[in-house]
Amino acid sequence: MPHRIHTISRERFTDPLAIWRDPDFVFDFADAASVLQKWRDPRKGQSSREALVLGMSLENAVAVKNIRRRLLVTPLTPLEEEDLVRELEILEYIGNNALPDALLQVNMGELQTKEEIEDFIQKHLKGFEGTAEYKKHLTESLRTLEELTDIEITDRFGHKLRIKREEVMEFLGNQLGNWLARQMPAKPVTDTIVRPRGKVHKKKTFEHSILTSQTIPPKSIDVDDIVVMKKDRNAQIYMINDISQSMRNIVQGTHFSRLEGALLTSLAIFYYFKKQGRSRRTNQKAFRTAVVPISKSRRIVSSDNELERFLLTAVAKGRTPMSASVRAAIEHAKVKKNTQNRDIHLIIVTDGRPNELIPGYDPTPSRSLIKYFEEEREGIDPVTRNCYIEINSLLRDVVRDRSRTWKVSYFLIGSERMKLTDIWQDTRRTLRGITYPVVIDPSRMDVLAKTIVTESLRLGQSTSS
Amino acid sequence: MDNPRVVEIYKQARKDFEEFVGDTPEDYKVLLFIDPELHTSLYQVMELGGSPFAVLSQEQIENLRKARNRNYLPDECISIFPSLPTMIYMSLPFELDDNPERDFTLRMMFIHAFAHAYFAEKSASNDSKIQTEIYRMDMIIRELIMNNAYGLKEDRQIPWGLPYFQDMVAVIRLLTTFGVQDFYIPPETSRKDSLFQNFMLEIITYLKRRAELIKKKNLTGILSEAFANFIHMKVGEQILEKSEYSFNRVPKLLKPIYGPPMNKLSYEILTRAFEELSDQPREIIKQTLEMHSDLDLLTKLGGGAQVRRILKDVREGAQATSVYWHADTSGYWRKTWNIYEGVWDQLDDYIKFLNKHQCVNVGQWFEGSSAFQFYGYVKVDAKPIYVFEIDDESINLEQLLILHNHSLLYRQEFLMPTPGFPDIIMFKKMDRMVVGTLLAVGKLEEDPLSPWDLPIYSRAIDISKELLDFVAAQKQEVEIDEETGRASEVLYGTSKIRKKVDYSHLKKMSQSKLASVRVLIDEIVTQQEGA
Repeated sequence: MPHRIHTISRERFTDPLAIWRDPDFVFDFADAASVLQKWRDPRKGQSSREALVLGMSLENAVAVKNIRRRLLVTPLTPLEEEDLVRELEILEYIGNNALPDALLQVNMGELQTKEEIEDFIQKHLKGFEGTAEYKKHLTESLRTLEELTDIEITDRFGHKLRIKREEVMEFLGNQLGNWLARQMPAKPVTDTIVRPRGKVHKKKTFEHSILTSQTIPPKSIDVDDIVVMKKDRNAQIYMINDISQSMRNIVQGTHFSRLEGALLTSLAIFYYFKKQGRSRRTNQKAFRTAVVPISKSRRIVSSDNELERFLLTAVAKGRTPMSASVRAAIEHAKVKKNTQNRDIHLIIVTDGRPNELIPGYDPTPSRSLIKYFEEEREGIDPVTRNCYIEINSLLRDVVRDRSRTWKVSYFLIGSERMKLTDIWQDTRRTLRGITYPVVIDPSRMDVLAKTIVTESLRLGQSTSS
Repeated sequence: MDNPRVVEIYKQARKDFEEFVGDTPEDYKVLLFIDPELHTSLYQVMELGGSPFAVLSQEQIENLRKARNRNYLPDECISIFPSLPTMIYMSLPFELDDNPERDFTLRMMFIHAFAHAYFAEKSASNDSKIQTEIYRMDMIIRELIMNNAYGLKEDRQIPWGLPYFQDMVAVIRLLTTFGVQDFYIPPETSRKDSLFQNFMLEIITYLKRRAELIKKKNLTGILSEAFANFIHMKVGEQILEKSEYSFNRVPKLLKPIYGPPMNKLSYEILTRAFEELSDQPREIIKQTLEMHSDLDLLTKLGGGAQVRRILKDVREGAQATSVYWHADTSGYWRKTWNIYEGVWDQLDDYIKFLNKHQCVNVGQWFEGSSAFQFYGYVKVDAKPIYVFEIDDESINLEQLLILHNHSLLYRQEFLMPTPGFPDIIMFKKMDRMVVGTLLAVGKLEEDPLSPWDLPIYSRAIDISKELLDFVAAQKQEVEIDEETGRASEVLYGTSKIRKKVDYSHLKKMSQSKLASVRVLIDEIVTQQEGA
């Protein structure tokens, strides 16, 4: 009777729930917030990143151990042996140097995404020859991160939704962007009065008119031919977001903080305009969005990758160096304006007062504002006052620009009662002649994005006429 | 479709063995792999599990599969499982072409395998009996898993049952082996709730019994190898002296049983131990079979110091001869050097250890070994968190799998109750890094019905000064924030509920490890319940 080996088999089943979603799932802003929270949860993210690095080093260790044994035990040809020794060197190096460093970086929270981990290890490997093969393996093993990190949420009715971790931003962005677009089908365009100038090619105009409007135009041109055309706006939008300590406050009646509301709003707007830009047939994107966090590090978040990182890592802390961030945005915008001829729209979202100055900046504010502070607000903190003065100066400069393509909107998070307070008064006076601040109730953070877009449409039309 | 040549060689080898030993093993099974690839995969799986039927964790199998695909696994070897009957797995060392070198290789391999089988049958040590029992248990566990996983898949559409069982069994096996048995075990009353619950209770009890059994097994690593190597090398010498073949050196194909340090050393130890009987090989064999464990062999030679002197000699001698087994042409031989040195060091450590602790069986070895160190526990609100360390080579890195498994737990929705883990902190050295892993189960409300209900925290940190400094700096920053009152009241609402942490049950450990334990414990303490 021959001996039968019970083979040690391994079955690989795909998880049927991997991309799974309850068809009735109701997705609203609060759900988006809970996805964002889970996504941003440092613990879950971190332990799966740690598990990833450990998984890689485990795989590495198994390989190293086996190669060593193979070298000792298996009769090999010279070529095989040489390859194996070289491979062993690389793997040992990865195990001894690259992976421990990567783990340390992950522990410190410096490597946030799998791309970053991958890059980090690649950098380590630069000195090695013939790593192309290993790169392939590395990518394979990095795929496990995806498997590790699904996010599951439940809506108010108990329906479930599961999202892959690396798709969260895309998913949320699309959801929110669509949600915005559904409420605001109108594309932001500018009405422009177009008059025929110079010599008019009657025939061409005639044919063209038939083709486009399908009505037969008059044979001769008179005043009627002066039409109002909708012209695409070529706009650059800056979402300047407060991320100071006070943004940590939980929005009443919900489970998310102001910061999370603001982040989602940024994401919604980013995707809304991205979508609008995508639907055009031109090569150039009509809308570009950038998010500018109000923080010490004056960064402009303008690409998907940067936005992802920003959403993942933004922490509400510190003070509110608003004027500095506004200036950073303006400088960035000036370049865009000069090179790409874009309309600029600055959107500022904050929940309080600015409280940090730009060092060495000499503001040129309106005289009425100075007068206001001198006469009516004598008791105000001088730093806050100077901040307001700086903002006034910066924004006044750009709004009075001769191109008249700069727009500013200012959103103040707070209840209606805020309109009775000094903050409101100060803000309104600061922005006089620039824009009219909008107070948005924190419990209505979910409509912030909508308000902003409406506002931006309205402004777009009112100023260019 | 038997190859007459193989059968001839097999018979020849049996004859050789009988001539030399005066007897033949009868209770064994040989499986020849014509396709070495298949053997390679099986071989590794069996080596790692320690038995042909051991269930490996999903991760380990996955890693092995990758290693095999990249052609990193050793092959053309021989694997022997010294149970009763002894199981011998071999790759055919040739592609069925006529070649005296390959014939000789196969012949020697058979003799080597017979020697192992003979040792398993006749030796005074309890090795083979316990192995037999362990293999049997492994097979039962395996069958249990297969049946249950199949049932789950068929009846309840739960396809991930099998991988989950594999992982669970592998992890629980590791922990029970080292006596960490304070699992969250489903209460006995839950037995009737589901088949699965019942199954898990059974498996845990079974694995405990397996762990007890392993501890009783004698340490015979060197002894059995010495026996087998003595026989095949002596027989090989005789055959080559008789010039049956056109060559008079051992062909390179025999690298697996001639090349590694273990084979050289064990042969040398045995011949030196019985120097006075060198012309009576049968007497040597008889006396060797009477030995119970490696320790007996060491004592016969006059203690560990003597053996280590032999080891040093052989090691130095081998430096020149090991080149023979490599196809050295371009001088990269020196790069395999440290591999050999590493193995020699391990052997040396093992002998040193045996001599120092005078241990006979695996249980004693575990006790004295630094392979596993238990550091006591930390209490957080009356709940103990065990701290231990597992050393590099002795364990197949399984500890890290646990973390991985937990991450997987997080992902998949289980409809069935499962055993949880005790809260543990494990240290493990992986090449340059020392990893501290925390696995903690949060506060259990009632008997949880699924792993989803177990709030699990897992962290892994690299124990380095850099990280500890970083954590300390971060802590300070938070404290400053709190002092200056910048932390918002609205966020935290009430002040944090401090949990009681009691470090008094920890044994002495290095400063950096202690610091890491604190960092990891902090993780639990700051965790909000129900988050």
